[in-house]
Amino acid sequence: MQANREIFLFQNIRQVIQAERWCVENKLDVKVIPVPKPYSTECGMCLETNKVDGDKLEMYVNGKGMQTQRISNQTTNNPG
Amino acid sequence: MNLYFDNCATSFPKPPEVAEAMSRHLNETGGTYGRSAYPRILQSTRLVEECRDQLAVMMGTSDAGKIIFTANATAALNLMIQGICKKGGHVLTSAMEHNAVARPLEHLRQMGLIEWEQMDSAPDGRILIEKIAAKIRPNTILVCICHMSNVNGMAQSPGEVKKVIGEIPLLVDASQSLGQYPVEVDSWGIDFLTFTGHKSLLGPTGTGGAFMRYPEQVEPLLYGGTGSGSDSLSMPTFTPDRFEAGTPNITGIHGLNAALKNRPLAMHTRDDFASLLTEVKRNNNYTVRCADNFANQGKLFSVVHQSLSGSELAQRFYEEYGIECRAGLHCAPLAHRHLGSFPNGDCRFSLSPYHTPEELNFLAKAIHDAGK
Repeated sequence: MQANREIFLFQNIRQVIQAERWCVENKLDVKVIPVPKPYSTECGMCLETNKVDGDKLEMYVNGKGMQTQRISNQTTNNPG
Repeated sequence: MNLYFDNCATSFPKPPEVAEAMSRHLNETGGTYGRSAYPRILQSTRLVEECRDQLAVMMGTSDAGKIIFTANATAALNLMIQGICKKGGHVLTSAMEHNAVARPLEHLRQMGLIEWEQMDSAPDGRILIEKIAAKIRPNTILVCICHMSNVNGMAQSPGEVKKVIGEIPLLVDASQSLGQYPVEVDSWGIDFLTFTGHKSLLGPTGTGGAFMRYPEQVEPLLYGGTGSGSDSLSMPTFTPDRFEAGTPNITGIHGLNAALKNRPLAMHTRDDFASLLTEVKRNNNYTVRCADNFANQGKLFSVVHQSLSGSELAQRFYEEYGIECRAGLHCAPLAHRHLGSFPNGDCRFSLSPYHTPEELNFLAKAIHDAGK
């Protein structure tokens, strides 16, 4: 992961698509990427964003009751 | 002239965008659902989730995440019935159930797991709400009703049923109704609902699914890869993944999504349909199978001729008028028993939103002339 970038792991694909759509609608810097190998054996997708937009995204996913895992290149936080 | 009147077997024609969407997926875009994150898959996955969202709007629920895709309504009904009834108990149904409900229930009864019986009904099959309570037992685990009969088009009132049965789960088979008749999953308190994509929703065959308000009450029927929780040998605990093992019918779902986004305005009015039914009822050679109250009538009905069998009628309609309709029991022998047309069945006509008033008039005249 690049410096200052974060990823959000979701419970399932539907949540990734929902969250991506919300980010696009709200003009957040977001990219759908494969789940990086160090974090999961998952074969699906996750969202990559920056710290500032990650804070906004975290508020959104918490509001929706989504179980996510927020990972930066230094810390791991589980807001869900 | 569109003389295809077998739309509750499968609808035709479809909105042109259905074939375009399916062709685009097969020939241009491709891509599976959610298994990676390159643009082709992302595009395909977005459309599948868009379809789920469209379906939620159509069925009146705010929780699209509890909608799952299956191959058809029969697969969804088997999942619901077998998944809910695994521990056994007593099940209530309407008198108008399709074999997609009756056969799974009867299978479980023969296995010694459940007992099932019908609720009392009016002559047209409509459940007598005031008599439901007397049928409920302490071990009643499910009430299952066909929302709209595929024999006479009569629609039940699921919300009224739910008010009486309280916390007992209500499963509604909306195979015929969803897309042509109001369905309000949330406000009616429906717990489980099954649907097909290729009838009134005007999508392709091979699509269908279910809404599950309480997915934890349902055991999966299929086990396999879901693209989630792949480090575990157990199925995920969350929907829709728990019930969507294997690659879904992505091409079909893209087609269904296009159908939902391109709903045609009906080319005939409800009054035109009422006039057709009135005209057919005037002919004393027929008994017309329809709802007692037109307010509960979907866009299909059946006729029983006083001397000609359903199959003789259907053959005559095709050979002499070019009309395509369906004879027989329509996989609903219980409904025919209730209506008094078992085992001979009847001859059924089901409309499309693409039918014009002129085509309905042609049908009315053909029914009149063929019955002479």
